[in-house]
Amino acid sequence: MPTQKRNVLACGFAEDDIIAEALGENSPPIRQKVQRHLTTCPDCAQRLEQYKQVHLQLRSLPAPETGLAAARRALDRQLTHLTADARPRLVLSIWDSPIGPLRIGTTDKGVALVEFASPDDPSNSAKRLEEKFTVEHAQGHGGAIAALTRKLEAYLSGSRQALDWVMDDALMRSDFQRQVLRAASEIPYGSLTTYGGLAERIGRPTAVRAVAQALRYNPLPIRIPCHRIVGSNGSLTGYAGNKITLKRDILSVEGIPTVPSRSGFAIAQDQLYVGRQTEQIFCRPSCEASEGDRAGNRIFIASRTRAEAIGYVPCGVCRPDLRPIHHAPVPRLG
Amino acid sequence: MAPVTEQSRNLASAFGEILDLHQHTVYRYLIRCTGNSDDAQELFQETFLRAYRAYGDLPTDANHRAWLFRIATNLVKNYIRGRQRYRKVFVADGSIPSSKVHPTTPEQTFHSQETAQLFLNAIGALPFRQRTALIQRQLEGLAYREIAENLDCSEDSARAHVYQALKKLRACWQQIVTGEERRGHANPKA
Repeated sequence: MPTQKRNVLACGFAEDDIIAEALGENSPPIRQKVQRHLTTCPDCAQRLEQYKQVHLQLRSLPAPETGLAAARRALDRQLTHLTADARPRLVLSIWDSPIGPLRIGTTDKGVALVEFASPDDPSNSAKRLEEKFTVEHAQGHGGAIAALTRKLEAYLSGSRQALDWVMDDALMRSDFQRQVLRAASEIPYGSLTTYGGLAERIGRPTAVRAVAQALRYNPLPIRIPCHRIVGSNGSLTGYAGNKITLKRDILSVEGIPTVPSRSGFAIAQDQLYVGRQTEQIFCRPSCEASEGDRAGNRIFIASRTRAEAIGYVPCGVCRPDLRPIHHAPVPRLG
Repeated sequence: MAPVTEQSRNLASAFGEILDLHQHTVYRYLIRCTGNSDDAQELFQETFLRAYRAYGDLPTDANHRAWLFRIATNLVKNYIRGRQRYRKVFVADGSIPSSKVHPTTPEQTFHSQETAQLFLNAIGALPFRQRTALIQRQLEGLAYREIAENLDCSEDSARAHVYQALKKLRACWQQIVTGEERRGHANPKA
């Protein structure tokens, strides 16, 4: 109850008490006081009746819904527009991997980004990410990210071959790039092809440089094994900018031997089997049978185990099963 | 994948449920505050768009109905103060259809669409706080505490706004009744 500035009627009674009485909001003592007063004051009794009437009339006021359906339809359209316009969320986590800090970005569809992070560089592609996503930085490394890094850790230790993270291709730049990256994903673990080989595989044998560019901007290195693509002379060429040693390290995880070369490192071609995809055969590097094969039909394979794992059989001419390649064990990471 | 993103996926559907549940109340409130369906439709959309934007930050145990009233009331405030045309609107607009005036008992109904309109005009002539407090209390049944929150005032003030509005409506009611008696329109059953 308001205690000050009460509207006092001519009879000396507070009008607010009459109103509260009509609304049924009075406490029992006030009720009694009001009832006592009403027996002596017909003016207030009439007033009370009028307030009761107003109270009832208000309750019976029409509740029109004319226009609600139209308003709801318009609202739904705006909400759909809002939701569609909203950039999806990208959660960035930094993980200190055995090959250095990695920035991993996940959306609700899957992993969209893997980046080799350097401490002085917040993100190579921060602006690009902001354009496409609402970027958040993960607190801690629990939940989904932990599951991802466990798999990656197992991969980098050599104990896991398939890095089967669910991917979000939102950061891929074109359908051509998607095609190139899909083709790169089909190069098996412990095997290699060349840029020219990959260009042939996608039916664009002359697009070698375009293929190299598409791989250069691979948003998901390691997950999409662009490290399994090397130059036609076997040199490792670029990786994540100029991180050639990183490419060597990742290849060594898969058991692929490399040697120092003029441009940095090259794969040790004389220590790799040559796989012939159409024939499902693997040969020694010097085998006549594989000479003249199209680059797109050829892959380099780290070991007999790896060749047999993908279903290849030893060549009947060079007999790699009888005369296996011997090379020093490829050093593991760390 | 991450819990955060799952939350965002659920956000739209949870908001849809709130919308379905409260759209009638909010629309009714707005049409009573504005007195016409064009403005009510506009404010209805704005209310829920604002609600949608704020929904992510709303505590899980929040009272959605009270929250929506608060948003709607703020919009009504801007509407009334911004346009200063509510009196005109109430008199001019015929969006209160006569078929919606369902007679129950003689005491509880308006004697005609005309008297209902007079009553609505009187509500439409009330200043912002009195009007919204009256509608929230008498028509939507909100507690004084909730009204106080919506109007950023004390409970006592909220009650005072309602009472002040009722005093004006009693005067209006007196006029309606005397007018009807004079014209011989008084309900014969009364």
